[in-house]
Amino acid sequence: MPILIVTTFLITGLIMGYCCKNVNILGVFMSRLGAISLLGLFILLGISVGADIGVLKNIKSLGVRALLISAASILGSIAVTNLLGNVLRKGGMNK
Amino acid sequence: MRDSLILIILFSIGIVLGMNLSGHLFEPDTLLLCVLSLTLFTVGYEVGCNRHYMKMIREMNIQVVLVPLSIIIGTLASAVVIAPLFRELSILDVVILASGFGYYSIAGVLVGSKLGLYMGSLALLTNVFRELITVVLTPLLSRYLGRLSPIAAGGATSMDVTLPIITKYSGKEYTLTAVVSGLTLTLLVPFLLSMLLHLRV
Repeated sequence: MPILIVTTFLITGLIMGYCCKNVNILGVFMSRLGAISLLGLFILLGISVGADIGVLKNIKSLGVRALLISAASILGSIAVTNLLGNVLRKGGMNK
Repeated sequence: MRDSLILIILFSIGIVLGMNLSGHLFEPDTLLLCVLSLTLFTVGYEVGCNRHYMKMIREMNIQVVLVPLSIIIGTLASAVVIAPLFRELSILDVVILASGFGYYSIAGVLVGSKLGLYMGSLALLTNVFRELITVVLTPLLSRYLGRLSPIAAGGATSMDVTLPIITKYSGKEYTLTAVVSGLTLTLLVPFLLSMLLHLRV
């Protein structure tokens, strides 16, 4: 259910942004609102984690696991992208 | 880099607040969902009203789409390969954690809301690290692993946070590829995550 809600907000924002005529004024407002809400989001995420003792106990091992997964993701995506790199360059991707 | 550090500091302040106010505090989950919805609304709005992005999408050719596709395949494949290292996590869990593509705000909250705070925190950190590693290692990646490598490493962040550094080290001719790749992944993450979480629950 939360996924459906946030996805709906994303799509609504896309459609509204695309249809909006007064880009400058609302665009600046939305940009600032987005920046502020991102800051709030991180404080709230921290509060949720801090209030959960179980997660706090495992925070060190969480970091190691997260680092391993992200490093593997980066290496994997670089490997596949480079495999496709020659094909992409032949197609004149950046012209 | 500075923005990522600010967000990590805010996250840490939140943890300290959560530890001290535990029990006296409101339920943060509903508020978290509201703030996330607001954040995504503004992200959608900014993408929608940016005529430059829309023009790029209309003009892009099929080869440019192959870059985000290869990032998705590479990320998911590497998650499957590395999954056996983590005894308490299933292959699907590791795939879910990796499929934020650096989009930490949405990955952390969505995974946390479905699979609990432990997995949510892991998803958040995994994607924050992806961005940080990209920012720090882009000069080396570009030099030794090819100029598409920083775009692949950046994932969803290649359209905003890591774009200046990608443009600097990979060259201006890769800017279009970076923006289209980051944009595609940014818009795809909520759908891909919801699909994977649906399979998991």
